[in-house]
Amino acid sequence: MSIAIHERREDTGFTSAQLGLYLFLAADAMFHGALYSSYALLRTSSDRWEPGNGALIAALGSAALAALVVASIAGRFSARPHRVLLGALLLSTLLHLALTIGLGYAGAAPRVNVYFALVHLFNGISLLHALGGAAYAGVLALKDTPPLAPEAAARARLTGIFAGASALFWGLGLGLCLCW
Amino acid sequence: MGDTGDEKARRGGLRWLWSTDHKVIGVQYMIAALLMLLLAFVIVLLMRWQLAYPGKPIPMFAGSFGPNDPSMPNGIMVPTFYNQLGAMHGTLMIFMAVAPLLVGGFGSYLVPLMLGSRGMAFPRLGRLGFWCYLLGGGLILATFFTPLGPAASGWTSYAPLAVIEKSGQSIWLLGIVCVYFSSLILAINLIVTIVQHRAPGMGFMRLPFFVWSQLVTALLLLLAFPPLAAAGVMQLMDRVVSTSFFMPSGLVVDSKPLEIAGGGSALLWQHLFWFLAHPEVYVIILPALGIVAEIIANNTRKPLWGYRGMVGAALFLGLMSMLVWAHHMFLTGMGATMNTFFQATTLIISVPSMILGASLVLSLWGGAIRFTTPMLFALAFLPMFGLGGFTGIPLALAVTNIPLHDTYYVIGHFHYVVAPGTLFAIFAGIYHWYPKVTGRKMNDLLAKLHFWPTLLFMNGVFFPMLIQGFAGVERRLYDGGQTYQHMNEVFFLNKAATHSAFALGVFQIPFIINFFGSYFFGKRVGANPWDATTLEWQTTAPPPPGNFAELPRVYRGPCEYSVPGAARDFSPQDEAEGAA
Repeated sequence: MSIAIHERREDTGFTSAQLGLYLFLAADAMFHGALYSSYALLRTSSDRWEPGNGALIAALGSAALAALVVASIAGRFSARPHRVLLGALLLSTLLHLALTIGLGYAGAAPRVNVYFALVHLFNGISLLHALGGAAYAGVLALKDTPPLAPEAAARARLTGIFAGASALFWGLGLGLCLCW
Repeated sequence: MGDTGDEKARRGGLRWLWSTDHKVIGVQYMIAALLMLLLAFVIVLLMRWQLAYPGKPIPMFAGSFGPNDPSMPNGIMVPTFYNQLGAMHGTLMIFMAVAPLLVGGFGSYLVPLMLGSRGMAFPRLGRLGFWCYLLGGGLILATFFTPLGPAASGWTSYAPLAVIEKSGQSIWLLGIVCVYFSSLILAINLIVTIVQHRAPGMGFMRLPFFVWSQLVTALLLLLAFPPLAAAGVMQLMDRVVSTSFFMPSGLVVDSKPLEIAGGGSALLWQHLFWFLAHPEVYVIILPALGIVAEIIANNTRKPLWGYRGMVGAALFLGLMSMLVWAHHMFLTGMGATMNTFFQATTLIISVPSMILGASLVLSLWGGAIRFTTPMLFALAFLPMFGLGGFTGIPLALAVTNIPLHDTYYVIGHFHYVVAPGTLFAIFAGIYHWYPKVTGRKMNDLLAKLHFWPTLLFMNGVFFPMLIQGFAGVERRLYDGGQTYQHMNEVFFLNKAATHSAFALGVFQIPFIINFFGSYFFGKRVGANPWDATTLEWQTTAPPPPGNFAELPRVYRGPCEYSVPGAARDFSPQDEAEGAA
């Protein structure tokens, strides 16, 4: 049997695209799980745990998180989801980039201690997510012009789900870095 | 209907490069992985020579190396090069040969056919996955050409050694990350295909066991590989931007303190690495069990014993395989509580393994066994896998693991699972499905000439390792242990194993000749030469573009052999009740 990527299969209730994305996010969750576990292990066992620059991390990190949340909501509810997705994800990318550069200027490069290394790692991985999402949203914005066909709307929804998951992963990492 | 890539596959000479047809990609995986297997085997032959005849030049090759050669001056291997070969042998075998062969090769080719589908769910992703695999392999092999040679920290890449190592470790890590992407893509594609592209009537309990094994394997790749990818990124950062994730404070190398922040944990790497690397064993063994199950059912002419139990055991095995990783770390001093937990989970995992093995053995009972070449390999798989499994039980317990862990016993145990065990299943699968892929059968005489010596010499290579392990011989000894007193009585076994390894290599020549020769000169066969029941045999050999002239409908289970009252001793899955 062969069904199209956005065609729903009756007995499973999924489209292949949906299932593929959920599986990717499951793998992504395991990837981030490894990062959070690393944070926990190093937080509890490192003999050089020296957090710092909390205000900068909180300000830019929260703004990047907010942009990801906007993208997530836009994918589901916006009438012109591709443009909002593209804009929000690009903004998030820039804010992540700004955080990297800001920490560098503040003397908090990854090599300084394992805390900053972890902050940069979480931030860099989230940056890659935002950038990847923005690239895909850019392709969709060029390809799917309003009014959106059902398949185009499904693609936007899935991009929104991806942005939402990225927000969750980054939010958890940010929360760990700021609160523990 | 999804794009199967068949149109592109038919176009001109570049079809093999760009085709998104799962059959083309499957064959590409298979050929590339077989080449990697051969290369990794040649590497280990060099190592085995060094172990049997330490400090002596390798015959025939000695003249190729001058006195100033950094790796093999005058053909004599230097210790660093031995370490590098060890690292590359493990890496190539595990990440580039056996797993890609079983999942990328057999899985990509057979799963859509067995499901009655026109192709994979995401054909273009399938192509991308293969390119990622090739890129990863290319990067790993490229480390041979770096100024200081390939990675030398073992296939486990333990920190802090792997971080301070000057050779091609960073490129090795990039290669592993590429292999991760390849595995991720392949896993998603296989799972979605199995869930979404089943033929009408193909319920989950009508899936061939091979497909179940691929499904569980894909889930393992999906969920267990990401932590290693994360660890790979962190180790790369440790090497490239001097972070200290895996670097504790106060490290001194060559009498000089390392100029790093410190504060990291070397054990963190081991946890993240083994979280993948233990399930990786099941990534290898489950598809092998799937292959053997199909061949046993077909050649005993009776259903698999306990099909549902086997499916349950495979799922439980997959789940448990992610809860046993730290039994590789008993020596790190994790403490009694952790040791107890992980030895309990490790013992529990032997239960589903036992169910799977026992079901296959019991499937033989009362069968009208046909001793075809695939069946011979499948039958040989059972005791080899059994020996691999049973020798693992002492390693599950901390009290026996600790004295055995750094000895050749572990090498013997592990190789019995993945070499005689898995390789026999791979050979069985190749002989079994070769007629489907090419429309021709492999030569039986050459196949027998391949099978019997392989069975003999495979054991000749690995059984001595178990004996040496019990004698306390440590692994990773560059000189084969000749300078250790406790090695004296069992040193001769190094020579026995090495001679067996070279003989094993010689008797792969009939297979290579058979594999390529049969493509041109093999006996032509029909679509279903083994009188099999599963859907891949109900289409032409080789299958046409789109796999089936008309998409099949499934009416029955996967191994309905010798059904009482049926006209023939096999009832294909797409044959309606009472049709034959």
